[in-house]
Amino acid sequence: MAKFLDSLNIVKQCRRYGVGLWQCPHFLFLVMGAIIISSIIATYLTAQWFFTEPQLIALIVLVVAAILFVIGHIIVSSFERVAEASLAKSEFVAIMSHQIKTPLSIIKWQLNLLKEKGIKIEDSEAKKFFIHLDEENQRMIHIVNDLLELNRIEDSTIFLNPSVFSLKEIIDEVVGRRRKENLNTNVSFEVKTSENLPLVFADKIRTRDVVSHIIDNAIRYSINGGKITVMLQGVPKCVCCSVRDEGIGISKEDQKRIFSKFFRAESVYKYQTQGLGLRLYLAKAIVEASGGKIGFTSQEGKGSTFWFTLPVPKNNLIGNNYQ
Amino acid sequence: MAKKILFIEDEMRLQEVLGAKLKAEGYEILAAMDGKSGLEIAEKEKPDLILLDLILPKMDGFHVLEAIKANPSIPKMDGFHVLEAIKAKPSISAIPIIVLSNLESGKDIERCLSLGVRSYLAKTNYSLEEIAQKVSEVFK
Repeated sequence: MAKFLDSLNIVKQCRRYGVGLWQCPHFLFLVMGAIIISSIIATYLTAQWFFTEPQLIALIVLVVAAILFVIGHIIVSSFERVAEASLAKSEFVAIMSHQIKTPLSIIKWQLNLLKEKGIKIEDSEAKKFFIHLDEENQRMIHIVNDLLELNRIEDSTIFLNPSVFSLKEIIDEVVGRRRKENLNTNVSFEVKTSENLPLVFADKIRTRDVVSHIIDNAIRYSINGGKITVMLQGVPKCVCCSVRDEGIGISKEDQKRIFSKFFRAESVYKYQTQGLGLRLYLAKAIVEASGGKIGFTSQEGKGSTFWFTLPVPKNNLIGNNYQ
Repeated sequence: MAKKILFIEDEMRLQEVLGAKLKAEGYEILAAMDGKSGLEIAEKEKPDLILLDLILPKMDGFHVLEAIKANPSIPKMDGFHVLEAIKAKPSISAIPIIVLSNLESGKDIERCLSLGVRSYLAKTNYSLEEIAQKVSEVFK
């Protein structure tokens, strides 16, 4: 209902699309509706008064049809403008991302090489800055990658490259990395796997992204530390991965929007302002495009459990390939 | 004898840094700044591996790929003269190719894979160590 009322707020719609009143599809649609209704009434009344002059009635119908035709044309043109603007935006993001990625690659590889060559930085502050350079460069790479992925999802140009692989291996890899990164925090990790877990059929690289997004989210919500438990189990035709944290949980209000684009939960935003609020949106899009499902349960103050499923290969339902 | 790697990349700084890493790993590095000279070097030196960027001046990476793979089903584009040159020397069509690019659209990846590329690596997503590992896997 709120969405419908929102669509009737013409001024808001005009601002949203960045077009004038007479180019706003919602406004033109209402005008067309009003003209159709009033013309039906007018034709009925006129026909009653001038039933001896059918030419006049025909002329009125012709004029109304012409007006509707013109309005219809304006609506189509407006949509075209919006579609073109969207296309231009996508191209802009793609070109800019590529341009930004080249210097980011150069910085990344040069830092890699400096690290490998074991350059001696005696000054502890300079050493710290060097580490920060690497981390911030990686952060920028993540931001650009997320924006590009969002662009692909919105343009429906996302390309999945599915293969058969072990989800457990991905979990072990991501958890292993996060363990190292969180050595000095109060966050601990545990991985539980049920026996005879089948392999999954999905895009391996993107699955790694999904696992990283969900585990990073659990870390982000574990503001006071706690254990993060990753569980893998077989469910009919799928493998289910769940990530439970003992963090601050998500409020009822925020739960409705947790998978929305650019959404940052108020409870976390108070503590951490970094991030675009895209990770869970991307995770949902990737899991669903892979033929899986994603969801969560959460209790404020007690923690959350995010889960997702990925399909097993079609000829592997009974389970010849175990992890 | 050291394996020869041809790195076709127009960004001098990327070429320098990856070249230094691979040299340290014991490979011989041949470098080209554009597709045309890359193809000439490939024909002349017959490298053991080609690392290829996709956006290149004069001739983009796709044209180089098409020329190297000499795939007759692909319509001729502005790299067709290289294709003809390669057809005359089909021995280089078997050289393994790793694409290193920041273009990551589905179409690009699909096109590269259909042209027989060994791996498609997004530059920002791989560290030098990981790239060196992918290179060593080719020679295993």
